[in-house]
Amino acid sequence: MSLYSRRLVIVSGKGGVGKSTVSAAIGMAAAGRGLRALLIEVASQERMSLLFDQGGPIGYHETPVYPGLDAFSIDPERALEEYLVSQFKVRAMVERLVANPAFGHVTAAAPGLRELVTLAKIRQLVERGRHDIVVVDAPATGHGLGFLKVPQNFLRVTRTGPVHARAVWVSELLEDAERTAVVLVTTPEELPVSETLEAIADVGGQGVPLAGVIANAVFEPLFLPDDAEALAAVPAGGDAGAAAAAARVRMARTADEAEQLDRVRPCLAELPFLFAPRLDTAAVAGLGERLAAL
Amino acid sequence: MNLVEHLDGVHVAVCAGAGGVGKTTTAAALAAGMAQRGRRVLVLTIDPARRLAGALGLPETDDDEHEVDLAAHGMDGPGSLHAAMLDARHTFDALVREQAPSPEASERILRNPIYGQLAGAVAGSHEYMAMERLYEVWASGRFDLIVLDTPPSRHALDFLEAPGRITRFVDGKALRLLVRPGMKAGRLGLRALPGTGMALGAIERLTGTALLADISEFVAGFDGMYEGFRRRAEQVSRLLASSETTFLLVTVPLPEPMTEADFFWRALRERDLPFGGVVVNKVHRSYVGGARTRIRGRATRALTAAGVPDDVAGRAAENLLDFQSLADRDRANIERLQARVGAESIVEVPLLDHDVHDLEGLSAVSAHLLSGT
Repeated sequence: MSLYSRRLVIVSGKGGVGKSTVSAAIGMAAAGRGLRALLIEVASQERMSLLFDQGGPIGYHETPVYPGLDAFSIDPERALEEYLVSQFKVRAMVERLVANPAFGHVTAAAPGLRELVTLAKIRQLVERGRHDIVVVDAPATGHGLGFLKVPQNFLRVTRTGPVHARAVWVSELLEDAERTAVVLVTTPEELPVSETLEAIADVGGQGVPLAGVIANAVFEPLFLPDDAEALAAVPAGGDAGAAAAAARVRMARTADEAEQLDRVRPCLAELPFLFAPRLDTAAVAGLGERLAAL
Repeated sequence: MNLVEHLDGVHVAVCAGAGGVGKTTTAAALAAGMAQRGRRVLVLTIDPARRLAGALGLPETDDDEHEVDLAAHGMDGPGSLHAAMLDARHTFDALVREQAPSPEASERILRNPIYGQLAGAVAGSHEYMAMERLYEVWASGRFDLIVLDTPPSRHALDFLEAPGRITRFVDGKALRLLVRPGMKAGRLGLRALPGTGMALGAIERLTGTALLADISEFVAGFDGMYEGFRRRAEQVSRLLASSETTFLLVTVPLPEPMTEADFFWRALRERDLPFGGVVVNKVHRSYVGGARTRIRGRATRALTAAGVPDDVAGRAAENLLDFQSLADRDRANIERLQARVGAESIVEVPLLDHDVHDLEGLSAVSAHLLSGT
């Protein structure tokens, strides 16, 4: 089943592996296939504004960032207020409520409320119908799987009431394999791969459908098996020695990477390490092309 | 900078940084290096990768302190290295047992579903527990130096702010007023604050009565423990701000982690916390000087002259240009950081040829960190 036939794609992974970049690339690939795509970032991270050179924040609304692709940055406080207004109808009352210290303290005791309203906002954006596919740049796995567990936690601590109903509503979408898929991003290194394997087990245990793993920043094959031998005789020092030394480093790291990737293969895709000094929109679009066939 | 000299003057080193920058490796390498130099060191680490845990001799099932056999890996010296893996839930449970007025009271809290969430999943609880454990070990005087590897967080700043959030929560005066002392758990003493009745009525409408009853029981359970929590939070804050402590920021020479390091550096200054330096990991080495446009041609000619076949020389020259551009990028990023924090506060660790996941690897990192250059 193609990733692009899903309505909701949730992208997570260890910190520093390039989740935001891969999320953006998936969004661009979807747009390239003619879909109307929406890219969501949570907790006001505002990474997309940099990736797409917006010159300002994306904000809590749909902002066109690329042909066929919009972005939306969910501020959990805004999402909470919006939810409260939907429940109590009267904005003035909600403003009083949010400003009330008792409300702040009790909602802090119900941890995950902000994550729950963020997820509810995501479902709302999925179902509004303006986009064919919604891609979420989720928090890092340590926190990110906690993020996906939030509705289940609420089902445990609330037995009735609108919040319980909200948690049920969010879980329905998260657990629907027809509409939803989780993608885990890793780099071909020991720690991220180990965390990815743990996350795979964890996602499975939660009943959230996993599409697979995308390996990011993988050295592309450059040298042939016999090249090491051809370079072995090059003396150290000078331009030739420098080139041979750099070649040996690349070969060693490529071998290490292959060993790590074998632990998570087959991957949905393996994206190349980019040598460019700065990741710009064109570079992300290039990665998107590699993801067009998922 | 000379990290050995710097660490000789402190008892607590906190390694902070964004996820994926090598914090755990840095903390373990610093700890091993200082143990070799004669100090009794404990590294408190969080969920290290399995092979690193294995290398440090940490079983995965407990959070006790285990001695690491440095001599068996050619890193022997006059000191000792212990390592422990933090388990937030375990530490939190221990704290509740210690602070609760009676075993029944602690059991009531430990069984409460709100507590289960607070101790387990909430952003902030791991950070708080890391500090709690740090304080407990420091106060025991069992070690000369404690190196703390902070929890992974997208923003390193979470670490400084999370404990405040949690103590504000369990210590909250407003929250305390919701429950009258001695009141039966499960019923709220309302209307102590203006608007409280309205707020709780609204919450009850949203969540049903069960959640409020649980929260009420939870809050009632903590009644009488606030003082202990508040005192402990103050003690930890004092320790972190004292001259016994240093904060080391760990980063990699990429724009986003560098921006976060800079952000954290400013946050430390605003809070008057002791900044020790920045460790920049995974720095690509420079291979050649001169203009970028000529590197490929120069290398191709030199390789061909050394008898390397044309096609291999072409690939090696292309790769050299790629690797040199990484070195140039890293250098530019480090220079930007230097302009902010000063060159004397930065320690660079080169990208090693292999991933670090054993004591030999740690030894190599440690040599770079503590070389004093």
